[in-house]
This record gives sequence, C-alpha cells and structure tokens, in this order.
Amino acid sequence: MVVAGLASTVVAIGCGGSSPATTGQPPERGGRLVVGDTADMQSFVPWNTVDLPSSYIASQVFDTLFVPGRNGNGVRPALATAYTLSDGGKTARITLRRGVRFHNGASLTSRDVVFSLKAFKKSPALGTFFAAIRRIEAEGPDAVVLTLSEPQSDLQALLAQRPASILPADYGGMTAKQFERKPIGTGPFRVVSRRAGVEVRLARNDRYWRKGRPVLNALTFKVFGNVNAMSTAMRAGTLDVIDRLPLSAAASFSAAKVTYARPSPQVVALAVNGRRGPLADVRVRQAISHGIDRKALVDGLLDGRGVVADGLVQPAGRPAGTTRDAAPYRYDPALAKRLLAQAVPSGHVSLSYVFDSSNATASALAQALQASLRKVGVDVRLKGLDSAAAVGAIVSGKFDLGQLQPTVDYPAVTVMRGFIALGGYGGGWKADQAQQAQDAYSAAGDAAGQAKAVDAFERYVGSTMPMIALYYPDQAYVSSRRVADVLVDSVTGYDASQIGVAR
Amino acid sequence: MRSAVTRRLAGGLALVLAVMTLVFIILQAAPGDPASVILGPGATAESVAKLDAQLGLDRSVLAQYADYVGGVVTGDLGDSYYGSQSVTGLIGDRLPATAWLLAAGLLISVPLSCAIALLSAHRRGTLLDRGLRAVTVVALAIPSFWLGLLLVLTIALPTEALPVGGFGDTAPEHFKSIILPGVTLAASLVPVQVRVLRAGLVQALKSEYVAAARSRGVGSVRVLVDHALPNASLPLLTIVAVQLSYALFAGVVIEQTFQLPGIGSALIEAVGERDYPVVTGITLALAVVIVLISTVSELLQMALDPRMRLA
Repeated sequence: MVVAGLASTVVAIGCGGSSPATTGQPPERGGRLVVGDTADMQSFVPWNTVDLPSSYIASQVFDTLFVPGRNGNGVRPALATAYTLSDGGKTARITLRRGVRFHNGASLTSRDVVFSLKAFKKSPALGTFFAAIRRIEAEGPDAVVLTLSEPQSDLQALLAQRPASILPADYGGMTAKQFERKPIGTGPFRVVSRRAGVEVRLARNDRYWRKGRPVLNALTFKVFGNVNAMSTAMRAGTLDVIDRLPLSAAASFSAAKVTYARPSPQVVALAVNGRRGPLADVRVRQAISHGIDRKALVDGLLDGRGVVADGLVQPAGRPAGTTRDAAPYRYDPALAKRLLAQAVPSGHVSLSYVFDSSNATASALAQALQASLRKVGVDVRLKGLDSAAAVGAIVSGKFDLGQLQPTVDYPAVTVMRGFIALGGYGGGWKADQAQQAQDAYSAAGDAAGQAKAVDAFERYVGSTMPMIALYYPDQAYVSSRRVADVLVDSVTGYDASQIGVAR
Repeated sequence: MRSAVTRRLAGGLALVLAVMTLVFIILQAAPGDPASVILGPGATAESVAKLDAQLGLDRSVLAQYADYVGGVVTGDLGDSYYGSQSVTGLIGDRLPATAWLLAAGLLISVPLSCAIALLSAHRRGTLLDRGLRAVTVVALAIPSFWLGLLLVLTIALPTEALPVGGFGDTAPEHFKSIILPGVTLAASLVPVQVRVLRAGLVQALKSEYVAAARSRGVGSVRVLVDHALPNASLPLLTIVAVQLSYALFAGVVIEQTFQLPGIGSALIEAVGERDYPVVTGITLALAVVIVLISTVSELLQMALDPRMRLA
C-alpha cells in the first residue's frame, strides 16, 4: 500500500487533546529530537519500499515536487513551483524551484527529476501508479514535461507521494548500493549514520531551501524491539516522540502526552477470497459484514479510539462531498443469520482466517471476530502466522478471510488502484465497476467529480463485499514535555523540520 | 594434543557446513518470501516476480545454494535485502553488544556461583545450605524478561543511575548500559552453575586426596578452596561453555528487554523480514562461535586435567 498521504486534519501534540495549541513564539533553534519506532526502515531509496519508517525518514532527507496539503483536498508546491496541463490534460509541464541544492552542494536540475521519476515508474513497489505516463523529459534545466496516455487528475497527488522523491541523477555518481549507504537529498536533514535495526542519525541541512527550517540541529530515529521497551524509554526521558503508538499502549500514558489524530488514514479490513468455497456467494459475505459488531470492536479493542467503518476508503483519503451508506456495515445478527440460511442450507459455514499473530491488536481482533461470527453461524478457524507468512498467504490467495490494514492511502484513487491491481487484495476479484470508478476519478475535473467516483466505488464495495471494512483506528502520538507546539498531521505525521525542543 | 585439536576443528567445520545447509533449506521451505515482505500486501504478482528476479530468488534453489556457498568460501556473506548493508558489516556491528552481555553475565555469575557453591558445600546439610539451594531453584524459574523489567522499574527508572535501555556510543556508556542486562543474564546462569559446582565440591570433599590434606592438618577453608575447588571446577567449565552457546540465542530476550543491539535481536528481525542473507550469515557466524567456544572449552579441560589428554 501507499504510505505517503495527504493531510486532512492537523492536531497538536505536546499540549494534550486534539486541538491545535501554540505559544505563538517561534521554536528555539537547535537541539536534538529522538523519535522511537518498533520497526526499522527498510531502505533509503524511496521507490524501493513502501514501509512507514522508510517513508517517514525519507521525508526528512528527500523532497518531492509537491507535498500533501493540510486540508485533505489538495497539494502544495515543494520542489515544483508551477504545474500546467495542456493537450487536453495529456501533457503536464512542471517548473522547478531555483536555488535548491542537494546535501553535497550540487544544484537541483531537471535531469535529477527525470532520473527520479523514471526510476519510480520502473520500481516494482509502486511503478504501476505511473502507468499512464508515457514519457518523462527535461525541458531545459528548470522544467520537466510528462506526456500521458490519458488525462490523470490525481497526477499531482501521486507526485506528492514519498516514493516520488527527487534524488540526484544517477545517484550522484554512485551505484544504488553506495547511495543506500550515503544518501543525498535536498531535504531538511542529511544522513549522518545508519545502524540497521538500531538507529538512524540525521543532522541539519544548512542549505535547506525553506527559510528558517529545520529548527533542530539533529534528529535521531531509534528502533525498539517491542512497544514495552519503547514506552519505558519514553518514561525514562530518553525518547521525545513515539510515532503511531499502538492504541493499547497509548492508554498507559497520561492524556497530556498523547494526541489521538483523526480522521484516520487507516482502515482495518478483511480481505475476502471470492475464488473458493462459500465466500463466492455474496449473501455469505453480507452475512459476515452484518454479523460483526463494529462498535464493540472499537470500544473493546481500541478503547473507543476509532470510528466504525462505513466504507473501504478511509476518512483521511476521501474527497470532500462524498456521501456514505452505512447500511451494508450495520450490525444485524438476525439479518446475518437469515442471509446465511439462504446461502447455505445448514446455516453454518467454516472459514479460515489469516492474521499476523505477532501483532497483539491483530490477535485480539481475530479472537473477537471469531466470537462474534460464531453467534451467526460462521465458524472461524484462526490461522495466526508471522507477519511475512501472513502477507504471503494473502498475496498468494491461500486464505478465506485475511486481515489487512491499508495505511495512509491518498488520495482515494490509490485505494481503488490497489484494489483493482490486486484483485481485491488477494481475493481474486474482477473489479470492472471499481475500474469504472477509478477511470471516472482520473478523468474528473474537480472535487465533486472525484467524490462521485468514490461514491460509485463504495456502492460497488458495499453491495458486493469483496472486502469487509471494520473500523478506522485513530493515530496515537506520544511526546515528551521537551517537545512543544508541534503540529501533527493525521496522515503524514508531524513535520520534523518545524519541531523545536527545550534544551 | 595437536591431533585432538585437528579432530575437533574438522568436526566443527562439518557441523558448520551442516548448519549452513539446514538453515538454507529451512528458509526456502518457510512460508512468506522477501519480495512480498518488502513490497507489502499491496504488491501485484508482477511486482513480486520482478523483485524476486532482482534479488536472484527466481533461480533454482541449487543455483542459489551454490552461489551462497561460493560466497562464504570467499568470505562474502552477501548483502541484506534491506538497505544493502553487507552481512559481515551487520554482524560486526551487532556482535559487540552480545559479547559485552555475555562477558558481563559471566563476570557476574561465575564469582557469585563460586561463592554460593563454596558456602553451600562448606555448610552442607545445614539450613543455610538448604536455603541457598532453594533460592537457586526459584531463580531458575524466573523468566529473564520479567526480571529485566523488574530491574528497570525498581532500579533504572526511579534512580536514573543506570539507563533503561540502549548500548551507548562509548566504552563507559557501554559499561553502564550492560550492568542490568548482565545481572539479568547472570541470574539465569547462576542456578545451574551453583548446582554443578556444589555437587562437584561435595564429591571432592569425600575424596581421598581431601582426606589426606585434612590429615596433614590443612584447614577446612583451604581444603575447600585449594584442593576441592580446582577439581570441582572442571564440570563448571563444561557447563559455562554450554551456557555461553545457549545464551547467544537465549540472550535475545534480554537484548530486547534492554534494547541492546545484539546479534540475537538482529537474527530475530531478519527472520521476520525473510532477509535470507542475514539469517544464514548470522547463523553461520553463531555456529562458528559455538564451535570455537566448545573447542576452547575442551582444550582448557585437556590442559587442566591430564586424564582428558589420555582419553
């Protein structure tokens, strides 16, 4: 799934609650911030991976042409200063910001952008999102022209995604492997060192093109083996920020230190294998959806820190003006039993359920679903696997139901693209209606058109249930008292370049 | 002696080769492949196939194995799939923390075990002896993660005298960071060491040479320390070697509790990510270390006990 996203709601951490609060004073320059995570980054080359730590750390080292806006409905310029369409939307011309320098002092040119976008397009991870781009060419040193096979209204948003980061052409004269060890970008921080599985140390980029940024002198990302160790480090004062702490652990911190960001960029959903067994019958899928008490899940598993799902596109990815039909997701055990009885004479089905057993929340959810669905006649056989094996089982279609947590998809079209490209995330679905919705989204000239396309997609999902959305979990951010007045974006997290710490 | 060393090393080499092959086979058979992990559940089959080709995983298992063995022979353990770090570099990066942990565990446990065992043997059959033995049994049942957390909550957090985790950057920081993990590891080593050493001491105290020493008027403490302890220590040497080998893997719990960037944690992470070169590389390195520990232990025993040389 895509890991870069567009902001929608901005909240503040370091001050408690979910409303912005600032002192009005510019943060003091200097200092070092330590951020904790339980996962290590996979790669510095942005188009190689889609994991969240890589995405977040890369966003401190590299820039993109555009960045997600804070209102969820647009993008803001970054390395690009202008974007113009011609030829009926099939040609996009991007003008580059002047005076931008890489960490090694070299100037940013169109050659770097052409290299980076071509590499992104060729990447196994997300290259398919650029399928409509036929040619990427430089037009002088300060402009790039993209020629498309068809108009793509979300092109700017895709260019704001982290894998579309701009690297120096030909890796600045290095091989990809050498670059991985000594990455160079135009971002607010430069890489000092990386110890796999331990930490990544960054230092201020004094040549950064945004005036007054970054505020910090140094930024360190520490990797922890488990949530408990990370929480203990925060209590001991050796950590300043925990990014997206599991909600169960966040509850143990005082409210003043935790911010719950909403709307959520995540949707927790069940992948449904429609290629075999009783799940090929839509009534069984609908029975499962109606047999799940989503509110009980949110209250029980998330301590109320989440929202019951009413569609597959998570709230933070929805264009303004979308409408929702919650009926397909309503908890109605009597209806679930009737639907199941209509589909299966015995009124009972037995299904396997694949989940990541190394994830405590996923394990708890699996048990809760098993108990909930048993009441309506669905016998769920839990198949807990380690993370890699669970992903492998779902991707290869060796499951009946599987748990997924697509993260930070912006815009909504990436959910649709992912759904279509993956046949409903491993479920083997032929999604003609989803394809039509995606085409309509790409061709839409405005937000209203995009909203209509998303509505059409959700109608298809709601009536067919190729995936079963459960809930949208809030994002928990924990900060130490040294960190003040930090704006947190519910999708992209916090902007480290503007954070200051008390020294 | 030299032929014995040669025999041990040849056996060790065969063992290392067997471990390497077994790990390679197990990884191939394990569900979940690296490309799927790297690309996530959002990857298409084409993307996975493309990345498999880039990583060389589309080749036959035999070709991959031959390539790997060829690399090992030339000292190249390959690169991690994540971040392109060389496996040898990663091992070199993560081994020091584990070495510090093991050293701290031994430096704390062996003297403590000797003291407890000597006291227990000296006062064998008394209430003190029974109490000490009971304590070692209880200590044996304490899980390392629980004790580690207890030490963090009762010592590190309230006093702030010792770090709650991490390894630091300098030798003094390493030293401070390793005290609590060392105590935790020692707590799991001491019970077995005490029981083995006490049993050896009690046996030695019944021997004729001890009776002879006593008849010469040697004091009971000197009999215990100078006569019984050297002979009773030989089984302890064997046990410590076994414990060290075991702690290389079992220490991962302590590493994770105290955030020590050790080799065990690296192995667990690599298994989770299906980072084949790192898993095989670390396993190979650990197998070599275990063979070396075992060989050194046996050589020491030969040096200390003439009967071993004759055997």
